[in-house]
Amino acid sequence: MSQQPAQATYFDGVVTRRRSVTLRFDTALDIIENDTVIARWPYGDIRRIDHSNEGERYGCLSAASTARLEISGPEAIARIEQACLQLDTGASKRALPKIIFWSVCAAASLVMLALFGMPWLAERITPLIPASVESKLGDALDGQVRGLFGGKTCNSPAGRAALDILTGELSRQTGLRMPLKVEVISSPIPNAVALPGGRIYIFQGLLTRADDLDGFAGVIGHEMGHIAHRDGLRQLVRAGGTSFLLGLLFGDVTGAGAVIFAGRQLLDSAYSRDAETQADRTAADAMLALGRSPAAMGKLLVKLTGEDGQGLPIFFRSHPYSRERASILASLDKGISGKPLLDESQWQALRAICK
Amino acid sequence: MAMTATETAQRAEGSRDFVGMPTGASSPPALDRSAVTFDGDGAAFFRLAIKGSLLQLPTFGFYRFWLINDIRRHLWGHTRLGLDRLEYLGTANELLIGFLFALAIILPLNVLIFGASLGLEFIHPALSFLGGLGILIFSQYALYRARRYRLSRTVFRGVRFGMNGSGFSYLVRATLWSLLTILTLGLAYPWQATALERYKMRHTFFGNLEGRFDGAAWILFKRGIGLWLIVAAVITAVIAVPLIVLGAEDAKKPFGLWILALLVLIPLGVLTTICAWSLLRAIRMRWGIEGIRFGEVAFSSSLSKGTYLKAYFKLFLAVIAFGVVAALLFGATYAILFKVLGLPVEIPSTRKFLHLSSMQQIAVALKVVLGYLFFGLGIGALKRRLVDWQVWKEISRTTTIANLVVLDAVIADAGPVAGSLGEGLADALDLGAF
Repeated sequence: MSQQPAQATYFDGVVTRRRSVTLRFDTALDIIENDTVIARWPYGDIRRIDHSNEGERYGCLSAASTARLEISGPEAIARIEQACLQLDTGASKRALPKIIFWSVCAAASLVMLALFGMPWLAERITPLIPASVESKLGDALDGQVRGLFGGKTCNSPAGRAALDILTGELSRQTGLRMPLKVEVISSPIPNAVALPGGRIYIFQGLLTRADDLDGFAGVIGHEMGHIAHRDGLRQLVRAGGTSFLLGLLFGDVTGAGAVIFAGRQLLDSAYSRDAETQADRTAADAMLALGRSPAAMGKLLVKLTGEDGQGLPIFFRSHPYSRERASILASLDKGISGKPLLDESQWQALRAICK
Repeated sequence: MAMTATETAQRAEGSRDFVGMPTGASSPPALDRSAVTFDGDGAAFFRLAIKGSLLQLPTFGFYRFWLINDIRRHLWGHTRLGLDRLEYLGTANELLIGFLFALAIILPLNVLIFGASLGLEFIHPALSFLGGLGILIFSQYALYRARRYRLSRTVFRGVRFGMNGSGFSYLVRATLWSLLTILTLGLAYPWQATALERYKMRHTFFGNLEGRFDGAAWILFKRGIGLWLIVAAVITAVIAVPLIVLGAEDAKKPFGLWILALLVLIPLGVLTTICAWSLLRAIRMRWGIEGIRFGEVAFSSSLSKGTYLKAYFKLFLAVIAFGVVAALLFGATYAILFKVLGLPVEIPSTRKFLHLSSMQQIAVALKVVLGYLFFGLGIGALKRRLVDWQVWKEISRTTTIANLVVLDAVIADAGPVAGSLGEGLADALDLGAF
């Protein structure tokens, strides 16, 4: 070990003046300028701040927080390294696993919030949303739905008239207060969609596959049930909130992503089992009140989900579920006591609405 | 010294510059010039940026606080003013906490804005635009506070920088000036910049040494007006030419001509505007540096006009190259994966998508999301290296400091150190920069 006093540059953290000092390795590190000890740094408190081409820079926990000692001579640096055993303690040890762990926890809690918190929140918020806002939302989604499913609305006059009669009767029974807009879209998908604000889209595929008018009417009644219970709106609030939460995760705090995805989400997420059951109930009640059979709807459901198996999107996704629904609907059957909702010519006109 | 730097500068205004030294409110016949040097390694920095991007995936983006902190330590720590290095004392934890605080403020605001804009949007489209405008205005507050944080974590020769003043006061000024600038189609900007820089520098200090801004608005105006005129001319042409062609008497084939004019003029107009904006940015930066004063200490800059332009162009090329390579790799990987899993490689339409099973839908959605993330993060890393780092290096290289020796007598300020809320707000509102 060299006995030459080590040279260093010292900043006391109080004044900017650069001071040339020498170091004496005593019981603590003595910093000496012009033969006066201007500072003493206990070895245990010395920390390495940085290193560069010119040498090392050190600070001291018990000194001013920005006091610095800059040493360039390799011998001096070596002596410091020997004397100070805690040079690198508490240096921002990256602890990457810890960061990842906490990030995953944060993500998980956001996901939990989305999965469990959002449905609850949606349940509370939905009743507070006025019908006017709901119909405006429906208008906005309308564009997306049309774009998504393509196809044009079918408007043959006879079919249109028949449809209006049918929906009129059903809506009287379901007690819907908001104005309904029911349209048939010329798409081969066997499905129907209810949007917030009273829009119901029936896809032609449903019409072609429905042999029984009562089955078809049941599906419409089911959609009306969704509208009456504001299921679409609830779903939208929940989807919007979920998108928002997930957007938080990835830094999109302004919610712009949520706006974009919310509409799509609505169409892509199944209604809760409860909502489906309620809607089925509404349809069944309407059919019974009209003296017709709810079971026909159940048979139609089973037929549709049986046909395509996994291929069906959205609302008819879980076919075992369809069987359960069909058996519940069948159990409510009280036989036929009313006249058919449409006469044969009207029904055929309706089925031909897209021609 | 017999005269302050300012007085000397005022005398020197309008006179021919010294060799290599810019005119304007700067550079007195200097007794003492110090260089700003930057010795960071570009490759090491790029590795840092890539690592930071990659680590954002398993941490759901949270790693960005560590990345930003590392970047600042690299940039500050490799920069020397004269003989001494800058030091950055901030920590990632501070940034994280600042972000969380900011979230507590912004989240309720966003829910309100989201809710309001949903209800209002259809009544009046402009009202949802107000939400975005509100955020824009508020971001001025965030930027001010973020600057304060960064300054308070910057140490030179053992003494901290600092900033006081009110973020809201700055916000008001920035908003009012911006209105004027918009009304004058940008012509008022030099005066806006001067007013805002003055406010910021007046409230900036190094230890007990107060800052000041001596830049003159009309000098910035002079330097930038040429480009402004070019952009104005181009935009006018883009609008006027099609109109003229349309209104032409011989309506034989105006349609074809019009389309052609649009296909040529609009891209040309956009390109010109982007280039002009890049040049103006460099002009503004140089002017801004030249006006910085701390007591007798004066900064001067010879930053080239093309600094940002060159950086953006290189970024553009790099992004294209990266995009092509990544698309090939990504596409190939997924084609193989999908073949193995029996999934359709091509999804021609949304309708077909809806016909897939849930598992298949998830797989396709995952591919889209991961692809998006991959490209986004890759481009982010490239931008950090090719623009942020490069510009920092260029600015260091072209900046000199006069009378640095005066700094020997600065005393540290004992006031409280700024919190990181501003940083948090800036991050939450997605306001970039280092």
